[in-house]
Amino acid sequence: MRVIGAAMSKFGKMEGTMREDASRTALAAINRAGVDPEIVEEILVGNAFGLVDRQGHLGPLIATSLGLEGAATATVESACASSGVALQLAYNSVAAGASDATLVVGVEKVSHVDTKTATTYFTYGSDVPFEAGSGATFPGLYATLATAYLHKYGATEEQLAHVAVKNHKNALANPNAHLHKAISVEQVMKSPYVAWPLKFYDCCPFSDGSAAVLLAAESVAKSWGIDGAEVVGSGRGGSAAQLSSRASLVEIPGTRQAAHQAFAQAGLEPKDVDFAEVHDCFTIAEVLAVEDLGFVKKGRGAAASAEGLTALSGDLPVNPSGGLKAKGHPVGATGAGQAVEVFEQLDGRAGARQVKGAEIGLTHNIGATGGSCAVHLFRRV
Amino acid sequence: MAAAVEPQAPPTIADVLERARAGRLWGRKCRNCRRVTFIDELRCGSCKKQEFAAFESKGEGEIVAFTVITFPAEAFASHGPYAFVVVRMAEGASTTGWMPSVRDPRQLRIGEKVRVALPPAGMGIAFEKA
Repeated sequence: MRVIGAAMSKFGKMEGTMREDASRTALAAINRAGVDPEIVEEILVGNAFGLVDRQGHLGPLIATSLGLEGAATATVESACASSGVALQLAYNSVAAGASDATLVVGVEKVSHVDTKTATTYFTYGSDVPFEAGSGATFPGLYATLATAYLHKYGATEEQLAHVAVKNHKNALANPNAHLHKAISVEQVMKSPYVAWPLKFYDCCPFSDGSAAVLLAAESVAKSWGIDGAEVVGSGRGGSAAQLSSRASLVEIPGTRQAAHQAFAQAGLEPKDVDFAEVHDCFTIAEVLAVEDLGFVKKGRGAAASAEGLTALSGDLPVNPSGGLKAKGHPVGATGAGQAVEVFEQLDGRAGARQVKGAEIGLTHNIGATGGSCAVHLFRRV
Repeated sequence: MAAAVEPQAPPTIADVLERARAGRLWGRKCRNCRRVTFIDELRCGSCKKQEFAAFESKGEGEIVAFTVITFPAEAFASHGPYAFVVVRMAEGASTTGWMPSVRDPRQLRIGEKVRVALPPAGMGIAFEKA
């Protein structure tokens, strides 16, 4: 199976509506592939807050804008993993032969509401009566994971800060990134606490944006003479919804499960991966991800950025796009956005943030505190 | 302190929250293996049986992990900063809650003993230092 086209909006602030932005990005992905739009048989939309914003059922709106009103559509809501999960479902659909070409479109807009309202929207992805209902916010839930991690492994807030510094640096070379601002460890450390031990610069911004990926059967790609990027592994997993139901707070079981599936399917191991786009909504999330994906041993993730392993020039570049932390995190668009970055990297079009010799790329997208997880492996053709 | 009347049916989420407003923590206990839980679990996480009874926690536990939230969501906007905590209760299961009196992370540590308390404004499950 191949990704034959991909596109994203500039993440940050969206002027129009989600349906307009998503439709334009979807068309850009189809046009990037250079195929007749009529080949699209199915459209899966990743979106988390459409209903809260009084416009649900985005699939038919996007399909109709594209002149594809006969396409089968569905919206996937899996919190921050909405479009990563949609991509995995699209993979299943094409693999089963139910669709020869499925378009995955992720979109989100939150910048028109104030920070307190957006913070509240995000809490709807938690176990509301038991977590948000006792005051949890998303920074708070990840901060709770961070205290458990720092306590168990003796890691430091400075080590977390290095994740933010790296990803901000990478985003400087990404014209579509939300934040174009170099920061220092000292700036991170001096920024105010949002939820101790996480500070302002440990947290991703509230972003708007859209991203689209066109997935097609190999026969379709060949008939159009398109190499694209090969999808060699597609996995999905889950974790207990509540932090209180987890046996361990220093790992995300769903990440391990999704990664295991994807690697087994691809016949690859973590050491084969040339670069990864991982879910770094907060700095601690990248630390947990590089461990749970098998790149480093448990307890070693905090040092990965500080020691340069995950830098663009390191042995395993992580989040060359800038990640959720600096490229931005338009919740429903994030998973598809990661696949867009991998597509560009494997096509050698990532400009100053190009990972040299990139052959195998990984994406890792998780919903809420990891209740839902999707991991994909792509190979340059 | 034992409850005056122990209902046989395990509590709904609304029941749990109502009792939390009175500073009491209720959950459900597997009728087969006696494992307890504070979430809406329909199959026992241990023996997988499906019969539960109501039970009231003694309300005592220890901190597994915590944070101090300085930027709350709307409902808690007037209460910050406060601690959000994961607590392992003496009966073995964990739950989450908040500690309105903890305004600085230096006031709390992992492993600290806490007990269920009356929540300000009747919100959520509250804890205080034991």
